Amino acid sequence: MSTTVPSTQQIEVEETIKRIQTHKGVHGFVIVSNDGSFVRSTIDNSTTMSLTGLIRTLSDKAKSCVRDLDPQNDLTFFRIRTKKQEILVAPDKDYLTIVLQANEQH
Amino acid sequence: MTSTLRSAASVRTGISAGGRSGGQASGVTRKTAPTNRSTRGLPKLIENDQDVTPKRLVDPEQYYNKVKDSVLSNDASSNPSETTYSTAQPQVFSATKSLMGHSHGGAANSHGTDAESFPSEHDADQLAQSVATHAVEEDESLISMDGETPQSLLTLSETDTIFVLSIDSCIVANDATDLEDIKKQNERYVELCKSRQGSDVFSDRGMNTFNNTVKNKEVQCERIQSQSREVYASVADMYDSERGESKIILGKSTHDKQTIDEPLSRTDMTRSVGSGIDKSHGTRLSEQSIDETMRKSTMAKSTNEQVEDPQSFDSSKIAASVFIMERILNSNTNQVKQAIYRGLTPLTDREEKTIAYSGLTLDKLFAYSAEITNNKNVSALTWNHQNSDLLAVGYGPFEYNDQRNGLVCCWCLKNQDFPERFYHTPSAVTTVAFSVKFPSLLAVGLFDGTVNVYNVQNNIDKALLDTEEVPGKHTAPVWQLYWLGVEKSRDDDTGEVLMSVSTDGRVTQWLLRKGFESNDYMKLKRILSKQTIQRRDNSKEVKIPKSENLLYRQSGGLCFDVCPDDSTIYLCGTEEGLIHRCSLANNEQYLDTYAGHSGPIYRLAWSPLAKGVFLSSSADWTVSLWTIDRYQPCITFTSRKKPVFDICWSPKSATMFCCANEEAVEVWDISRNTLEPIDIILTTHPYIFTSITYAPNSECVLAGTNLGSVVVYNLKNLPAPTKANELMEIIKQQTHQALIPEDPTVKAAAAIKPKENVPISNNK
Repeated sequence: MSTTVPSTQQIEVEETIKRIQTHKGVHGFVIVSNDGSFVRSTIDNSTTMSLTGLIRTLSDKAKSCVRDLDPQNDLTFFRIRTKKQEILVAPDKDYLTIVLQANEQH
Repeated sequence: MTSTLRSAASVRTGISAGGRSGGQASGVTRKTAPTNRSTRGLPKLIENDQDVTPKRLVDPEQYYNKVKDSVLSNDASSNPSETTYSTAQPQVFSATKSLMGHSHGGAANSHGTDAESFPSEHDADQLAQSVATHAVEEDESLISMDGETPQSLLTLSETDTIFVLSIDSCIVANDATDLEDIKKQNERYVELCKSRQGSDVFSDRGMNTFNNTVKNKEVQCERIQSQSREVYASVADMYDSERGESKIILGKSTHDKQTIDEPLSRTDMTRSVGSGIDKSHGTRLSEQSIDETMRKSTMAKSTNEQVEDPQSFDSSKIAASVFIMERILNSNTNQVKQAIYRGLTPLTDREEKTIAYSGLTLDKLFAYSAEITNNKNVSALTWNHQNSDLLAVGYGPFEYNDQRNGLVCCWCLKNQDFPERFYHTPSAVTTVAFSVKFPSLLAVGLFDGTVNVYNVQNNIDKALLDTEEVPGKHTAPVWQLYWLGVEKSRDDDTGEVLMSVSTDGRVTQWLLRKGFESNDYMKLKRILSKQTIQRRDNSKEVKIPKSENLLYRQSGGLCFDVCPDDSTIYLCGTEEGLIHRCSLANNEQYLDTYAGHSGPIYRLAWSPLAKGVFLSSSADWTVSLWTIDRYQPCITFTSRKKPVFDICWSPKSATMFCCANEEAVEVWDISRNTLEPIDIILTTHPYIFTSITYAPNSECVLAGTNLGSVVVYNLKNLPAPTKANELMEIIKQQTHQALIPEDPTVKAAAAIKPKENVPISNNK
């Protein structure tokens, strides 16, 4: 039971999350914590599990690649554009945010 | 050499014997002090009220005396080891001891080459005694401990290495004095060695160390769990650990607990799974894979933990990621539009099916609008001086009726659906201005006359500074704000002041010292120009003396603009349609007055490229172009029968400007056509345009509507930008044309130096 009143920053972030979820073309939104448990997800459980596992390995690899090239650098964001959709990943210190957006049909 | 053999053997036994010094000592003690022999000699080990003293394999007590006798009576030449070996083992035990003692005592004469004879009788005694003395010290401690406690602690340890025999080689220099002696000695030794073989003096003996009986002892301990962990330290990890931020975690306590609690099979499973995963990259890759598998297996267990997780999730931690995510999403959706805004050719892979425009066109790109800005009238637009993508928009109705809370939003190109910052104000916003010197300060003028200053670095609704309490506060809506750079008069001045104009007739300077301090630049006195009087009273010719004003009242100021070339001169437009040119230094009199409009002046704008030329827009449906030396407008632009709310010069082209009247956004190019705008965007929806501005870094025009959206139009097919002199040419043309049908007195009037307060009338 959360008894703390959410701070203004938390409220803002929640609103931003809401806006992202209702953005044009977005059909999936997942937040995973670093120990593997997913905090928020708008897609079904099994897909989320596999997605997070795979994305996490990729994210770690990308991050180590960036940091090996220059230790002072760090990975902030990466996108995977596929035929059907685009996967946007934002790795963080504690969490990993994944958004699935449909490709723009030009 | 036999002696060495013997001593070697004894060394070995010596060490082992030393290890059992406790037992030895007791044995020896018995020998020297047989009367003291009692049960307390042996240290007892008592555990759980039971005597678990390990029993001796052999009881030396019984055999010692026997052995001693046999030892003493032994022939000198007989092989000691053989004798002892044939007899019972305890003999060995003590005999070898005696040998050890002997070697101790005989260590002094073990150097040298002579054969060593078997210890003589008296030596044996000697050695026994030496052993005794050697061991007595240790025993004394034992005795004392025995007396106090029933159980003594036995510490077994290795003694120091005892060098029984150490024959170091000695190196002598070639020019030593006794070199010959040494050489002879060496030769003699070599001879001896050679002759050793068949000589009677020497006899070979073999030696054998005995393997003492072994006692097996079993120990059982807890099962030692082991888990393998692998970590790959990459360059980044080494950098991190140097700085003390090492993220290499070899084992988390919670997970260790889990593995230990789990049955054996599960641990094996995780280990095997872990080994199967690629561990070649990433510091915590293997960690996490293991963690995930462990998590999977313990999912059932930790369901109660997961319930807690959503509550303990602090969303402010991912604020940064979410922020970036939103931007990227926006750029995905709107990439084409944003590219056009930036002036880049858009990236499309479909064929362009656009209509080819021949002339200048306005193409709608996107609109900045969000839910919070719905149905709010856009009253002000201004750009940030440092970040030319940042647009501040003020929302608030122009009229007094239906006053609601106002809103100021800062929009950025990267997000069109939600403003970067939004501040709610207690009353409607009429004007906004970004500071030049401190680009993060935003001054907002409100309908109730207060001026608020916000810091756009954060999103706090409370203003940084406001003029609520300041005595010099405006009592009527503030219609325009301007940050003016001035010289510092005091050290704590910021070098910048805020200028404001309001309907209460004052043009005020605000100094941002500890709070707001105000000075009035000018009180706008209401004057009736002769021209206007003449127009009213056509019949009479009323001569009005220069110094006297008919009605000494303040007139409301609606707008002003500071001359870009000379920042002490500014223009101020009033409600009566007069434009006054004033100086900052003079706060009593106007330098000039320009009368030409018949309705309140909504906007004044100096031309950024041409000197001394300005535009004015008014509610009388016209836009007028003036030069400072003419008191009549040079050119007047009318196109619609609606008040023109806002005008903006093009920053690049001297003859282009755009204006927003209620129905349309119009782009005018004076060099082409002075009667009609060269392009129009008509409002198709039930909204009206209320404000307009050019984008500083793009070929776009932004127009605000009264429904809360700011529409961005891209100017396509722009003609080549025109220069200032072209504008002047056109003006000259126009004025000459205009002049001809009029009275020649106008020329004379134009020639008079603009120093007087009284405007020049037509008929003088």
